[in-house]
Amino acid sequence: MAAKVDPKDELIEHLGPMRAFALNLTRNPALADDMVQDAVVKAWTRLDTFEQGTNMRAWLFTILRNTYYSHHRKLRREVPDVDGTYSSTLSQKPDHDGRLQLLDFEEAFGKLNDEQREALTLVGAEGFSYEDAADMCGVAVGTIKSRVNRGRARLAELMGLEENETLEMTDAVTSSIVSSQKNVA
Amino acid sequence: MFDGMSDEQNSSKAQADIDANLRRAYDEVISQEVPQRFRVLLEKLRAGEGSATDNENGEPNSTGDRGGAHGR
Repeated sequence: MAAKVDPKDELIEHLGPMRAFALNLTRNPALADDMVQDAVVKAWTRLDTFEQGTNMRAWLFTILRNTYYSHHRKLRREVPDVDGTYSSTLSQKPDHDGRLQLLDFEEAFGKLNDEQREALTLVGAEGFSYEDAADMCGVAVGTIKSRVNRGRARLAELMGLEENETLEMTDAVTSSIVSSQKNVA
Repeated sequence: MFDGMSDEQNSSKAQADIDANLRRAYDEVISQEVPQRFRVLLEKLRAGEGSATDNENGEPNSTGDRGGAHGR
């Protein structure tokens, strides 16, 4: 945890996660980046309200999701083809089943509702606690839990992951992706 | 880590697979280089500050062409 970083300097460190969160909400890269831009501008004008020492990412994500629900969600509906543009942002190395698996996953993820995508992103991907996620979304902890659970169940269903079916993929796939990214990067 | 799986553990295995996918997709975006527009934006915001108060809802928005973020 960075000790006394000026929030203005710290902000840039959160841009990557902000983009990832925005993309999970909008499912549209151009819209996601517009949204991040708006959120950064808003955050900048309100930096004096940020309590130093608290979780800046949570603060920024809260602003970000507010811009989504107040503005960009509408735009999203007006923009056709979300999934195609989304997939194209994923890196293009088809390695074994890993890449296919990830594309399947993206497709399934895109079928979830806003609340489920949001909850899964905050808790499952970003690793916020249920409590923090509930705070950020302004709902009860139980609500976040149930969104996460329903989202996971729906994903499992869409991806044909039945309870007893334990995909062998995780380790092998992850390591193959990691190594392919090393090659790319 | 987990051997000898009960049913419950099996379903949490599926859950772990899902979470692994979630994180992978998420991390993939994070690992991308942040587009230039954001660095430019931050520089502008910093520069704007030096030149004092002016715009609360002005247009630091010249890199985005959707000119419509008015109203709060």
